[in-house]
Amino acid sequence: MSETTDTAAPPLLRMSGIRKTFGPVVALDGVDFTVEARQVHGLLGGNGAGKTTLMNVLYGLYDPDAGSIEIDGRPVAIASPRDAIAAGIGMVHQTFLQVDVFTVAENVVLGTSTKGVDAVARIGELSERFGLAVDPTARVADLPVGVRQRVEILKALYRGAKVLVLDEPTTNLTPQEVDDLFGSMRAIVDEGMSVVLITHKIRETMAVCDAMTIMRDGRWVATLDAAATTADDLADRMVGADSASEDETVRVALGEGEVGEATLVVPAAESEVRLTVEGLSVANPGGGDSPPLVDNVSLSLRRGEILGIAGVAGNGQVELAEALTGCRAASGSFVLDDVDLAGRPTADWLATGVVYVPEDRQRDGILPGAGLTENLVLGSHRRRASRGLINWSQARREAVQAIDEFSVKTPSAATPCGQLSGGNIQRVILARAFSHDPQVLLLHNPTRGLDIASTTFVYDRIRRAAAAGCVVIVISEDLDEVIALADRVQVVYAGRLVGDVPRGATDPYALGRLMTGVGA
Amino acid sequence: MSTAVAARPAAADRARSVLVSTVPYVLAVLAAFAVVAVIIVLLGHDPAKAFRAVLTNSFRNPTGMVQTLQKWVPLTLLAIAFAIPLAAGRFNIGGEGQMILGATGAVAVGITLSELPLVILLPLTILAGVVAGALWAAVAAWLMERYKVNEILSTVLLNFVSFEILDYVASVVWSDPGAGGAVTLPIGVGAELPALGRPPMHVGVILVALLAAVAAFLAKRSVAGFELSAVGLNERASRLHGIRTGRVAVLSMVVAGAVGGLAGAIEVAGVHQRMLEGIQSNFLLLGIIIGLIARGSLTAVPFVAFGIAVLEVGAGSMQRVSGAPVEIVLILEGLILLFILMSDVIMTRLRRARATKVAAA
Amino acid sequence: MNEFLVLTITAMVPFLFVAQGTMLSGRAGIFSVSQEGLMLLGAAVGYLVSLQFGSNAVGLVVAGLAGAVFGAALAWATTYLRMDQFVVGLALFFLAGGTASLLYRVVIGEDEPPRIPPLPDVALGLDALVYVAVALSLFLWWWLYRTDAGMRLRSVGENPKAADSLGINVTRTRMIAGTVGAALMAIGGAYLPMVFSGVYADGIVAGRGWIAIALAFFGGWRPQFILLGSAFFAAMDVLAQKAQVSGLAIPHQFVAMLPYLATLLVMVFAFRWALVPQFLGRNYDRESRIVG
Repeated sequence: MSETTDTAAPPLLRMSGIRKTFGPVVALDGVDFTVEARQVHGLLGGNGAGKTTLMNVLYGLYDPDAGSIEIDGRPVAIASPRDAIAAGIGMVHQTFLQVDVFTVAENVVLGTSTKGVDAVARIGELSERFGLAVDPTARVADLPVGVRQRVEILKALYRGAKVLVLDEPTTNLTPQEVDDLFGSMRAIVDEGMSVVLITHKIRETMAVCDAMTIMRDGRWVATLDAAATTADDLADRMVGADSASEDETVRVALGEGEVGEATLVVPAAESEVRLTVEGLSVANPGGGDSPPLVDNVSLSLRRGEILGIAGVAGNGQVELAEALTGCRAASGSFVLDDVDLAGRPTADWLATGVVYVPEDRQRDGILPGAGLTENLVLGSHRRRASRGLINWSQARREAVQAIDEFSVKTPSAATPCGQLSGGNIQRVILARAFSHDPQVLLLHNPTRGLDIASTTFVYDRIRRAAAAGCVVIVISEDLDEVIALADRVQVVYAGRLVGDVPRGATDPYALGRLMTGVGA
Repeated sequence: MSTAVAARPAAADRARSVLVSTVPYVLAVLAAFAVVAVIIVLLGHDPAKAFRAVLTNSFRNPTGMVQTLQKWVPLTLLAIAFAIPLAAGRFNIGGEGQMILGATGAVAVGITLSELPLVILLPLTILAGVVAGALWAAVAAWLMERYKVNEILSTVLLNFVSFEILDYVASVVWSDPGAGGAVTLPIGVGAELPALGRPPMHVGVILVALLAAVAAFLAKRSVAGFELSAVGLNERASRLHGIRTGRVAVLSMVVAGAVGGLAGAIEVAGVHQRMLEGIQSNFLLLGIIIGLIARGSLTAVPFVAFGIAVLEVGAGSMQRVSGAPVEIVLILEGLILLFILMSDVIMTRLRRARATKVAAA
Repeated sequence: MNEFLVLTITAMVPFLFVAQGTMLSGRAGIFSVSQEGLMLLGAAVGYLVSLQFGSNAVGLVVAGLAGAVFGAALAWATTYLRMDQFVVGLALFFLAGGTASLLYRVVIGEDEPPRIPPLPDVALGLDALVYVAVALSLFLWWWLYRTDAGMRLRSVGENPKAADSLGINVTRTRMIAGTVGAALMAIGGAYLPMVFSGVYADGIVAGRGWIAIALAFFGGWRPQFILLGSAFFAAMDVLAQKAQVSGLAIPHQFVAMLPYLATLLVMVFAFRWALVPQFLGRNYDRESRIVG
């Protein structure tokens, strides 16, 4: 795993003094980043540390305020992705940048000249060499996440990338697929290229990286050789020794430790069953033989129980979440405290205390153009109104209280929520969720993209709600998070719920098999 | 824990920021006048004379004011008819069709029941107009909700259908044989809107002023108003929080149609006493311009509508006095809209640039 | 050639130009609603320039340029300033229409407008622009699906972030598509006085611009189906006109309604199988921090 560095040769990539601001926000504060040839280099840091921003600068998507970039010792000017590609930089983003209606081959060749080139043959050859099996004629929209990721990597290899940047590539993969990916990464490095792995998972960094650079709050913290460090050391540097998280849950969720290290929390003694779901199904709008989006899901949850639902994205998580909160038409029964809510309009579910915290905050969770006051009122506006009119001065008072209680960083309650950071938007959403006095709280990917402080805050709130008797369901594509938080873990695969493992008895590889549909 | 955050900036700051925010709009209007002044000069006329004529005509004598106010009525109503669905993110371009159907409903009642007394006939006539306009909009709303037909297309196509309906009614069904062209018989005396003052101004003006005030109040304070703007801001989030977005969108169109129908009924009952070809004038176009200049705010609409009414009434005088053609006024109005839209963009950029400078400091 | 066919084919030409222009612009993500105004502008400019220079060809070119200016304005406002496409489209529709009226008024005024000579027949009793329109449709069909450049345009309208990340110049693509599309729309309008009426009048477009938008949807934003759809609508248009002059039992107003009602009906079915470019009507911001 050691790389031979010829000290006379310049590093493959050197970024110096990169500074980037977005309005008043300083995202990168004079960052240096160096990658040697034939190296898997981890770029490590919590969400909001600036890792993706730095790589977006490298790829020409962001224009830096200051700084320089050198490839093989020669300075390059990167003003757009075109320049980055020409300089030999390839990037695989967290959300795949593919044209859904195009085929694999079309997506790979898009933007290049196909004159006189047998694209399909070339793609096949690259597939072989690096263990990235794909069908070039398949429509990308029909492919599962793992295969779409291979297409993204092939796009970069097809253009002769020297440095391949992967942004949080393991988020949506099963443990087995992660192993395959790491295998491909080593194959790529063996052929003379370098790979930059952006991640917040310490375990992965230790597993595959030759060296790692740690970032925090937009600044460079340290660059270390893998051989010269430990997981704990990395964790401390990532979080900052003074504010190191004591929270076991957070540490496990951040992938800092092995799952077995989480102390066993004994769930409350047999409390009564509050929620019973029977035969919940959502039909496929395609009709006919198409399999249902949610397939005959049944649950039984007790007071204060936290159910974690793991799974690879695209297996019906959103549909399940919406069906379980009355936001999507479904058949079957949903009995909470002896009342069946099935078939009732969404407003009734909300009024009964079934609260949904969706994964896509900007798109589903807030009114970006409206202030905090209006956002808090959303959903409870009918309940508050007297004679059809809303008392805005009261709403404003409550908003000020919420800002304090949930530590929302905002200039005022009238500031448009779309301008707040991800962590603060989530706080607003939680403030609203808790103002409904939730009896069932369903969260989907609640800490995606959040900084460590906000992540800790969310976990704290979840546990407090459970302690108060609320039934909590956490659907998360982050397996570590599910394992750390839940009293029980199930897996959603193709719209069905499979497996049922209590806390402490979870085996990530067994769950991984369930996530890909291999038997329990 | 944190320093107390204000619910919103103090009243004095709010007042100041309101004043400051009008500055770019004023500049936009002045810029539009400047460009049009150049065009007038290029056409060989005197811009000062032209502007003085167009702006002062309404205020010179009571006749000018009455004309202006009576023109203000359909302009305000059609602007409201555009602005209400706009708040929910929908574009109702069918104002003139809804107005024409409203006029049709009004003459249908006003002519066939012409013997009834004012106390019964007038409310019936107005109501018929309102309902007809609402139904016409409901067609487009149903197509929009059920079949996902783009409402810009459906409302516009229905406008063209409404022209044929107008032609049919005015040339065949209730045609006035004495009048040349497509004109209906007059409505009964009981269907005419009473008029006040000298020269007489129909009371529709007062009715609409009240309506506009109520609409602005409801938009800000009522549950329906909140749901309307929530749907416009983020339809998905609204639906996930229990708002029946389909119903809100459809209702907004139907209410808009009712308002458009009211405009038609008032034109029949207050201005022409009959329905005729061209009754819709260019109110749709101007109503949309007003709605967009007012940035969708129902509070601003009546005031912007008044300004446009002044320009429209003054256009003829402008041409007589200075020779500048009346078409210039439409260009002026279009430029005001464009410059106001651009001033929003420029202000956002300035704000962002200033924030970046603060961060760099 | 059979008279009905000739009438239908010539009636098809304005629809075809405008709908293909809408499609081209829309495939890059710009949803223009200025068609009606651009057609009016094209008609007025085409008529006045043809009158002035005694040449329809010059009139067509200048009309195209006038349309291009407005198209560039829409593309620039939406791509660089990221303003709402419908709002800007409507504003430009008003300005284009107002400009058309003003120009006509200033040049002709209250006088009886002189007629311009119609476009001469080239073959089969059809004028040159018919062949241009059909050839253009076929060319666009080939170009969109068989060339690298066409694939790039399509990617910009489906997923501009993906296109941008692969080095495609999204802003330039949108600017060009929006400008050329609008030029085509204006040319479609210029055809009207040059073949049908010989003069310009404020009501000359009569809703064809809006029908062209429907055609773009109906044709699934594909040039080959837009060609078929335009032919169908032209046929309806001609039938409606014929019914008006011949003595039919049905009042002519109802017949005149037919093209519009048919369009509505078509839109109802179009939504089932029409493929709309995913980014149609939206504006792309490379530095947007909104995730996903």
